[in-house]
Formats: sequence, structure tokens, C-alpha cells
Amino acid sequence: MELPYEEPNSEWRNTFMKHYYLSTSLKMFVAAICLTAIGASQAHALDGKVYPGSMCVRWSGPTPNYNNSAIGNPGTTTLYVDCPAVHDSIASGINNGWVKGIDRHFSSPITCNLNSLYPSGTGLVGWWTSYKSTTGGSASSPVETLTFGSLGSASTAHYYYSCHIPPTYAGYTSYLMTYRVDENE
Amino acid sequence: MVRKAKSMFPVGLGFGLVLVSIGATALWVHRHFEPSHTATVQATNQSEDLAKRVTPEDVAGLKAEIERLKDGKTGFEQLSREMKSEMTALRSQLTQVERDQNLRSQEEGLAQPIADTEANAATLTPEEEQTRAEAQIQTQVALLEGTLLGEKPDSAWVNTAQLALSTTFHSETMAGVQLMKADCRTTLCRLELFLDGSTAPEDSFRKLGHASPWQGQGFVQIDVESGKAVVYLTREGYSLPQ
Repeated sequence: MELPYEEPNSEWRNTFMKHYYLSTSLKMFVAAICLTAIGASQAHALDGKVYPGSMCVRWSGPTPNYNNSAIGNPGTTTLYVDCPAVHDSIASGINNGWVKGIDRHFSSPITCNLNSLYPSGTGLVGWWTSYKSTTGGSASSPVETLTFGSLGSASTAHYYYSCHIPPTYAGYTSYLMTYRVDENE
Repeated sequence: MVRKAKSMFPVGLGFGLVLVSIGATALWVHRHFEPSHTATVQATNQSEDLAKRVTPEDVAGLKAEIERLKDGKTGFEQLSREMKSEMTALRSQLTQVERDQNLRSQEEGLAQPIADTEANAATLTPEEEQTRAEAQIQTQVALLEGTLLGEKPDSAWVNTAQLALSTTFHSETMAGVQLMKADCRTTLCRLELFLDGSTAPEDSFRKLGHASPWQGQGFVQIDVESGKAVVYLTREGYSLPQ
């Protein structure tokens, strides 16, 4: 007569499995900690700073107005501003950046590019990105973000966004609110 | 007498009930502790019975399962080792790149290694800072030249790009800036310009970024004394090599 199958020494097996799973879980936990630490060290390889729009400086166009530290164009022609960013990382170059603005003009957008300029011994050396533009165009336009990628530089070059802010439209003012530059570190 | 017997009956009944209660409690206590001992004995007996009933096939099956679990563990450890070795390889490649970069800077005798710390930078004199910045620019120019020369011309784009450049530099917007030569390949154009001095170099820089015939990244080196400028302009959608 054949006896019904019974798990051999199931108590010992359960103990073994419990230890095995505990050991595997512990290793995976350690691996996760290591990966997180690596990720964190990568993230720290950037030095990002956010600036208020009021730091932008007019170089052409009407006199700007300032509202909650955003810079606006209350005039009837385009306002041209340069928005400086601190260069404090010696490893040269920008990793990325963005500009946030409210475009309330129906046809003329807020337009910006990112520049790096170095006054060399005999002249000028500079890097620039392509221009990016908002797509807004109404009184209820939301805040839009223009994003920029990497840009070359020299160790003593300075950084700035060059932006165009459209004139008022139907009494509504467009604003450049905030901008950011993330340097390579 | 009858009356006395009647009065004694409840007392006797109560006394009997108390005795029954005590007995029941004693029995419950006995059973409460006894089963655990019995269960232990039974469990021991069952274990012994089980050990006796374990067949060689069962043992072999268990061993095979242990081996399978060990293999799984070994696989995980192997994967972990591979990941570690890949990370080590990447780290050594990064170190090699930094070393090559430093070596190149030293060979050219132009500057300190690029990856200096801020603390080191603070100790540099303005002349040393300038030397380092110039070295970085030379490195950038060499990289751009190398990229340009390594590209095969995309004839369709080259014709369009050079026509667009010619049109732009003949426009009113670029007054004071003459296009002397344009060399476009696949993702990059190299332009040689002449600034006639009627426009300040910083204004020319702004114009180059703003009035480019297409939206690409750019790099320019302007020599004020000679009026010569060299521009590297990427094709739309491409970035400058860094």
C-alpha cells in the first residue's frame, strides 16, 4: 500500500527558505541603497540656481515694470532684456536651464536664448543656444516654460539669457517671471 | 424532625454543589495542562515517525531543490559581480578620459587641467585664470574642427545651408559683417567672417545669435584687432560637441 506524500522535514525546509529569502532581501536592500547613493551623487554633479525675473536688465525697448519680482513690459514695443546667471562652478559649461514667463500677446511671443560670453585678450568668444519661444497669446495664458539644453563655456565666461518680452495687448502685460541655470560641477 | 430535615436539605444541596464545582475545576485544570505535555510527546513521536517514513527519493528531491536554490543564488551573485565589474570599467574609462584631457593640456603647455576645484581656482592669479580659459577655448576649437573634418558633406543640406547663409549675411540686419567663406558638412558649418569695425563686437555677437538663418547652437571667436571672426553653427536640431 502506497503512503500519501508528505513533505520531508518541512520544518527544516521552511527555516532554510526563511533564511534564504531574508538573505536575498537584505542583499537587494543593500543594492538599492548603493544605487540610490550613486543616483544621488550623479544628481549632485549639477549646480542649479533659480533667479527672479526682476534680475533681468533692459538693454533696449521701453522701461519695464516689476510685479512680484517678475519683469513685465508695459510698453507698446518689444522689451529686450539680458538675464544674468551666476557662474560659480569652475568645471565650465551649462548642463541645462529654463525660463518661465506669461505671454499675453496674441501674436508676439516671449523669446529667449542662453549665452555664454568670454572677453578674451584680443576680442570675444561666445557660445549661444537656439531661441525658444512661448506659444501663449491671451489674457488667460498660463505660465509657460522654455527649456534649454547644454552649452559650452570657459572657466571665466559669464552666463545670461537674452530675452524679448512682447508689448501689452488689450491692456494685458506679459511677464518674464523666473529663470534657472544648472551648471556642470 | 421533618421540619429540621426540610431545613437541612438546601444546606446539603448547596454543599454538594460546591463539591461538584471544586471537582470540575480540578478536572479542568488537569486537562488544561496535561494536553500540552501530551501534544509535545505526540509531536516528538510524529517527528520520529516522519523521519522513519522519509524515503531516499524524498531526500534526493530535497537535495535537488537545495541545489536549485543555490543555483539561483549563484546567478544573482554572478549578476551582481558583472554589474560591479561594469561599474569599475566605466569608472576606469572616466578616469582615462580625464587623464587624457589633462595630458593634452599639459602637452600643449597651455593650462592647468580643466577639472580643477574651486579651491585651486581661488589661488590662481588673473593671468593663470586667463591662461586656463584660453586653453579651454583652444580645446573647444580643436573639438569643433575635428568634428567638422570628420563629417562627410550632406550635399542636399550643404547647398540649402550655404544659400541661406549667403542671403542672411547680405541682408541689412548683418550690416558690417561680411561672410568670407562657409564650409558646411552634415551637422555643422564653419563660417569665416570679416567685421568692418562699424559694429561693436558685442553687437555682432548678438546679431549672430539672433539673425542666424536657422535655429542652431553657435560658437564664435572674434579677433577685434584683425576684424576676423570664425563661427561654428550647428544644423537645426543638433548641439555643439563638448
